[in-house]
Amino acid sequence: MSHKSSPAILDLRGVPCPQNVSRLLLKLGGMDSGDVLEVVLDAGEPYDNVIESLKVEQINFVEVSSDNTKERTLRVSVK
Amino acid sequence: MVIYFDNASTTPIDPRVWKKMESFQFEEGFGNPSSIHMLGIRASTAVEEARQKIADRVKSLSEEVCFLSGGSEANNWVVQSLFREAQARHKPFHWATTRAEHSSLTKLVSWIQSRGGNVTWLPVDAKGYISESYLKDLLKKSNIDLLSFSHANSETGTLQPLESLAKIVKQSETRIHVDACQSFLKTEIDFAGQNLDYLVLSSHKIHGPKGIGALVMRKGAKLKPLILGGGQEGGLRSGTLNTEGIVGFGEAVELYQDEDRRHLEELKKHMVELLAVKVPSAMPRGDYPNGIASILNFGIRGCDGKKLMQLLSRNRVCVSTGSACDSGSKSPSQTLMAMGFSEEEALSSLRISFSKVNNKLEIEHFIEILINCLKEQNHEP
Repeated sequence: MSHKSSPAILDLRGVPCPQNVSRLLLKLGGMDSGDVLEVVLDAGEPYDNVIESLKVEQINFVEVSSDNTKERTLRVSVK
Repeated sequence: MVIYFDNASTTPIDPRVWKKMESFQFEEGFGNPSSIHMLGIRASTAVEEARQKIADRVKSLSEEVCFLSGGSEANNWVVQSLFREAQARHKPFHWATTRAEHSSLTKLVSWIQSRGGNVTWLPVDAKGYISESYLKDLLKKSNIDLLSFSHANSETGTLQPLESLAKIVKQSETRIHVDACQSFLKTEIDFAGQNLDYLVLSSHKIHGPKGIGALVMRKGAKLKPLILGGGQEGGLRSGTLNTEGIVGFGEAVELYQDEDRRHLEELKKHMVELLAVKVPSAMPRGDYPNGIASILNFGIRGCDGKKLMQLLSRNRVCVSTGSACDSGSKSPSQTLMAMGFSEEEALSSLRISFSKVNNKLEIEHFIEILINCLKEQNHEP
């Protein structure tokens, strides 16, 4: 039986661009392969910039559905 | 060969720090850390990495670390900002500090008083320690808004018992502001555990570049911005970030090891032992061996410290008579006067300050040169 611990959470709400990207990249750099990180972001430009950077860095992510229009949550997998 | 024993004023940049800084000045490293393109992100990531390294060493959150130009700016920001906040709320402001502080604090006293604020000087004892009983009484009798003091005194190396002072203060509403420019990395600091509100750090005292430092601010004790503009540093301190300075600061922090502390302790012990044997007229100040290992202050009765310093300088030995910011001053050290030394004793003092790049051979050469200089001034070593 496998035990999956809940993913780590990085709250980047209120953190401006590109500091949010930098903090996310540093956090991911300190995680192990296979780890999952949930990232909470402000909707709009911060969110757009972060996903653009994740694409550039070829980091896998999925958006976790949320009804909250002010914030968005991504689930990022560490390769 | 120059013997440089003035490391409490500033230290040489570690070549590895300089190399790292260079990589953020040219080619793909020079970007503005506020830009959202790839060069901006590269610079921003380096800044955040440095912030985390500093936070880890003082046990704070990285978002509590705010970069600025150095200790003087940080000290001014804390005191002036809290005073202005009180003024804006039409509330009185009562600040407590000691006469043994760096001039970036003591010069704020008249600034506060001239604007209607209240200042209490906390007494220090002959070794430079803040009187805990006086502090307890003061906090019982008065509403102190802010207590400011240096963790390690820049002239004598006396190390205030942070934990015990913080415990006393935290029974009140008083905020604690600690200038740790001299003690950072040379002794343990637990920002969160010791319940500090403001902690001042400097890069150039630990082999990092000049013009960069940090103010660590407890999450619930954020100050009002000093500089308005582009909203850098969480809107607290606008202005394009000094990326290479910050990166250098972070690198200097990373490179500072426990063995460097032990090395400093050995240097100080060696100096004190040699002085005791070869220059018995030298009287150590402060609380040897309990103070910070990098600083040793001693006086030679009847000797003019400034003249001795100049004579040593002619012999390619760099020492100081006090804090670098005060060394142009002809008046006796206010720190030593606050500790109860006479004017003559205060004027006879020399400050020796070591760094990790000094060695025992330099100390032995220094002692020989010191003896010659004293004889030249007709003083018995």
